[in-house]
Amino acid sequence: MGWRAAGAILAKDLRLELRRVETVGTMLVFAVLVATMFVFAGDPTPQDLRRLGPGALWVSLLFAGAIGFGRWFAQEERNQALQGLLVSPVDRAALFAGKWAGATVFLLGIECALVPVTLTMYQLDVRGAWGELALLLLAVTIGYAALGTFFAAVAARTTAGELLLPILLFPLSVPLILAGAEGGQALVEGGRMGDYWSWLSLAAAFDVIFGTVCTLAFEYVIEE
Amino acid sequence: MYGSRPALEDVSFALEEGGFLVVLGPNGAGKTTLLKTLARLVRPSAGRVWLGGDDWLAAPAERQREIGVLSHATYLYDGLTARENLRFFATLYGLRDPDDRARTALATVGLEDAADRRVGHLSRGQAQRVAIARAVLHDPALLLLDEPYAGLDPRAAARLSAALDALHAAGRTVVLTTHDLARSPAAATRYLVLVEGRARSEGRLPAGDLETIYEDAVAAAGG
Repeated sequence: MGWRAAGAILAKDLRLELRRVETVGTMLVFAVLVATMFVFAGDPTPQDLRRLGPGALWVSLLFAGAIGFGRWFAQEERNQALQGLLVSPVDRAALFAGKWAGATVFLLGIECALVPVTLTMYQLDVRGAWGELALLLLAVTIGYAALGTFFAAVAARTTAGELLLPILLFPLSVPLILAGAEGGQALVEGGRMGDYWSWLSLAAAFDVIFGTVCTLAFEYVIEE
Repeated sequence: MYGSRPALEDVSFALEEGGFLVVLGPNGAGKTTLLKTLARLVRPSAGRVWLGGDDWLAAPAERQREIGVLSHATYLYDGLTARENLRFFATLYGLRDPDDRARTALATVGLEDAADRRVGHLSRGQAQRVAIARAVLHDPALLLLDEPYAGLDPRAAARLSAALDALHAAGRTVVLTTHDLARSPAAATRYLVLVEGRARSEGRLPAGDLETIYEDAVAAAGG
């Protein structure tokens, strides 16, 4: 029952977003703009670009996520649709899982376009380690989506919602962004697979810890 | 809490199966809080709710399928069609064949023709009828209606009244809140007057002129 409900919420969010595309579209444009700004700032050499690239990718996604999470949750507030979910026999954890899965899919969709653009702009070569790169993207994205979904729910319950979201979200995302940037750097430099696996493990541990905490705490956040 | 006072205090009533309770009170009386408490959308700091002999507030989430909630807000997604909304909620309630349930529910409220229109493009009255379909999709025994007439024009309100009367006639227990005495349904079997979070008058209908009862209760509370 819980998985079925989570799946229904995920499918509903995908359907709503695919119909408008405005949130994901805006996030993608914003992320590309942020990534581009790093290229033009300070007239970097090709070497500088390769050093900056992995970090720029994650910072762009971090900023873009702050735009998207709030909007994805706001659709639950329109017509008080969230109340409709809360009066149904759906477990709160399933509700969170559905929203979390939706945010993860949207972010991964943005990455599908953002990553090739960033690799090209920053002249990055992952030396054929595409599987490792995909794994790193997935691990970091899952954790970031969990935090974003959770804090979007927190922000939706406050008057200063949209202002509050990045303030809550960014500090806690630092370990993830660090894991993404450093893990990516290890792939780009090559021969540092030990480092890569360490950073990937950090992201995975973050996913487990914050995924669990956010799922359990969600019930108290959405309660009036 | 509502400001510095409890949102609800000293409120007690009983409603028999198949009964129809109308909860009256001015704005800020605690009507919505009472409905939200019954729907388990808010957790009271004290007090009990019994449903069918069980401690309702401690009952598992599964039992939410015993209630249907209709509010002035539709609880629907504007970007989905009426059919998609109902199919989604049918899935959440674990109903078999959500497509069929959505089709039947739309037929019940006479909106088959608008099934594939997005809710955001429907009139307020039509959207409220889809909301009724959502509230009764899973065939709940208890209907909780929070100011369902708010924002409806007289024609849409009359249609809603007819739909609610039919739902009650089908054997459902109904609790309806309103601040508008003119919207007290003829089918109501009990009344409860709330003022500033307290029950000021409660009883069985018909018990004389409801308007007089209401005015007396509000005046006694200093309102």
